[in-house]
Amino acid sequence: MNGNLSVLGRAMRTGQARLGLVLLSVVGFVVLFGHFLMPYAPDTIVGQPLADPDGSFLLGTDILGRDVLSRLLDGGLTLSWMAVLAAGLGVFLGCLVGLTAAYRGGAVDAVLMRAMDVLLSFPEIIFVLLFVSMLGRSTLLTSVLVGIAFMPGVSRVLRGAALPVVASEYVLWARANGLPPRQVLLREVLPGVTSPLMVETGMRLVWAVAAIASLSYLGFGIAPPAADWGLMVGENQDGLSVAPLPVLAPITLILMMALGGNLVAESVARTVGRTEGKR
Amino acid sequence: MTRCPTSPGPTRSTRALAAVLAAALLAACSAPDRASGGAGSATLRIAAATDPGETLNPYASNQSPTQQLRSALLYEGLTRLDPTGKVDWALATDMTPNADLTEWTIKLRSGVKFSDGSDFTSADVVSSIKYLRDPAHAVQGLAFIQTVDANTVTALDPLTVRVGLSQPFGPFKDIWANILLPMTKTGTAPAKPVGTGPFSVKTFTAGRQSTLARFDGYWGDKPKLGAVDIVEYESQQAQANALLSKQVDIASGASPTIAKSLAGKDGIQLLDSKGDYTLRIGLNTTVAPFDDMRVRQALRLLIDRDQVVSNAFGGYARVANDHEGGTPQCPAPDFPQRKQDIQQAKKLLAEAGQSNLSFAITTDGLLPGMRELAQVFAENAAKAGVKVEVNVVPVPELLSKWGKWPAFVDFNPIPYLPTVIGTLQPDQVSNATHWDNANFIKLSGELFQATGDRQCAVMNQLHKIENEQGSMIIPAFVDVLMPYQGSVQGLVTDVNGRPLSFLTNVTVGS
Repeated sequence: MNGNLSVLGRAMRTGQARLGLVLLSVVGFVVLFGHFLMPYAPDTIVGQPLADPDGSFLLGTDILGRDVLSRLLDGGLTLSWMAVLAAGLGVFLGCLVGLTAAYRGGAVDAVLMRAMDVLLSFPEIIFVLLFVSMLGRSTLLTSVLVGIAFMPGVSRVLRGAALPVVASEYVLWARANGLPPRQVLLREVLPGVTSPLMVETGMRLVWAVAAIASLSYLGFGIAPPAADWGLMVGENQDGLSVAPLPVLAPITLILMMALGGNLVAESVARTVGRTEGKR
Repeated sequence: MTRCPTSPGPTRSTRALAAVLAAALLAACSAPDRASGGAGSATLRIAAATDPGETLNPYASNQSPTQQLRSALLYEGLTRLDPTGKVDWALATDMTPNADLTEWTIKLRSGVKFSDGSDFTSADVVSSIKYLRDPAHAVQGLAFIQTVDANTVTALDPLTVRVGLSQPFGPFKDIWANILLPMTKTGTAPAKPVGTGPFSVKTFTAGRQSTLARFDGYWGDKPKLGAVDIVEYESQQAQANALLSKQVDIASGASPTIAKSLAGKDGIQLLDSKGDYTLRIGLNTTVAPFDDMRVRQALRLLIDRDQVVSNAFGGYARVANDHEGGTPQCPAPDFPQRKQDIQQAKKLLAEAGQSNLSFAITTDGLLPGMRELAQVFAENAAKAGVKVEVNVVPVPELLSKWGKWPAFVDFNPIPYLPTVIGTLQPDQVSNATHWDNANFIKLSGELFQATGDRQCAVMNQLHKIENEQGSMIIPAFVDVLMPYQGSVQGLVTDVNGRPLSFLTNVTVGS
């Protein structure tokens, strides 16, 4: 575990990772504390639609006459918890399937991975839309579906990373000593794949943000009148040429979140790649 | 005329520049083609919403605004609405009832020809009415002519038809002005319907494009246009972009925001049809708590109508009073305008035991302002502690559960008389709130037998019942907005929101 932390520490020393961290910190600040800094309630109509920025409305008003700044400050929380839940679930399920396939091998491996291939053939957004259209819209359902959509990708990576670990001597020793499979996987195999797991978690978090923001934009994610960055882009796009800020401001924050996460994850991946997993 | 290059010949270093130039030249190449038309042969290119399921059949059961737009140029009814909402004679020139209004004799216009050159006669009217009246065909306009007894429809001579009714019905002339009740040549509907309108079909590809050519044998004032192209787009933003890039001359749908963003750009103007078109929130009277009139009245007191007009419709609307529009020729009802009254609303909700009311309004967001109306209402309702969620669903889902949604956003583009028949009577498909009011039904029976001033007086009494006991929150009459190129002249606004039905004097180009 310490070795993995040192990989993380080495990764964080790169300029790229630091830029990523700065971006994530800014977005994190907006998400966590924005709610307390709002000048108006995010759902309240306070002015004329698409008013220009002025002293009362620093970023102007949106298509319904609500304060863009207040909606921006309030709109990241739902997206963030949904993204964390989706990425967490995707990585957990992917890990479970990937490690089991690598550990058991043979028919179990073949069946699990072919099942994952079938799931992988659905584009993520289409997969989610399919179920949301059938079951109705809810934030929890959307997060879970995005998580499930991530499962095949994660499982492939984790299976690949776990195969050499499963074949290593200390794992064979543990198996020979009759340790139950669950303990072998948790105590012996999982620590060996922590580095790719970290990279995968970071990347999936970024993709979850993009996927959920896209779903909200398309009208299948977070329901209006809630303030949400993806929804704000969709709601205000008609007025883009008269009032660009209600669209550009949430896009900037989504971009910062995704770019920041991407830069950090990429740095970790490169550090892992350079040291070839050595601690 | 700008020459169009056959090969841009870009080198590696100039590829980007060449791409920009090619795009600019292509745009420049398309413009002069338009000007080559000249008076009498120009083409008006209309951007419309895409409808992959559309047909040319004017009797189809579920017609989109695009199909109706096309039908209005191809087919005509016995009567028609002029742009001020007044009923005019079209294919008929007179309708005379018997003493108890149960039998009508229709005199037809002479010298009318179908677009295939054949004569329009009473036989075509008989076959059209019989087709419309046959429940097996499930035509969309069936609700309006349910009193017509198909067996009694007979041709007395080539220009006279007699129609018997199962009940007395006075406003017979008004009903036939409905766009869903046109006359077609015997035996041609539904596959290849032939009409008598000012245009005929030249090409038609469902969901993409159709070209209508002027019918030179048209009986009335002939259009100055040579042809009309209806080009279909996925979204209103796409229509706006097509207008900006001069691919079309007029966009048939534009939200207030799009209309504002286009105004004045490159000479683009706005056709703003003010009328009695309503967007409304329906409350299902068979679902609790909307079966309680106190709850419905409370919700009507919660909405800030001025805010709906300014913020949901960008000012392109006028305040309404929880009843449908009247007839432009009748004076407005004189009961007071309902205003937002949060305290009274809270009191009514408390009396009904619904102080913590929470519900969802479903909309497909099909028309501009639908989603915004629901959102403004949600914001207004929150002031009384009523929690309203806006549930945006795809169009097919909204239609598949039609009549089952507890609260939904709906629209009504038709005049009052067909609204009373088709939407405000029980057991009609359009009555998705299942409103069933005995007083209203009794009084509408009177309306169907009244004429002139008496008709206006009854309409206003009906409006009062809608206002006091109705199932709809009707906060605004909404304008229909169509941005168009400055080169288009002669467009007229229409109180019924169908200005593209009136293209007689329209010209394109200088």
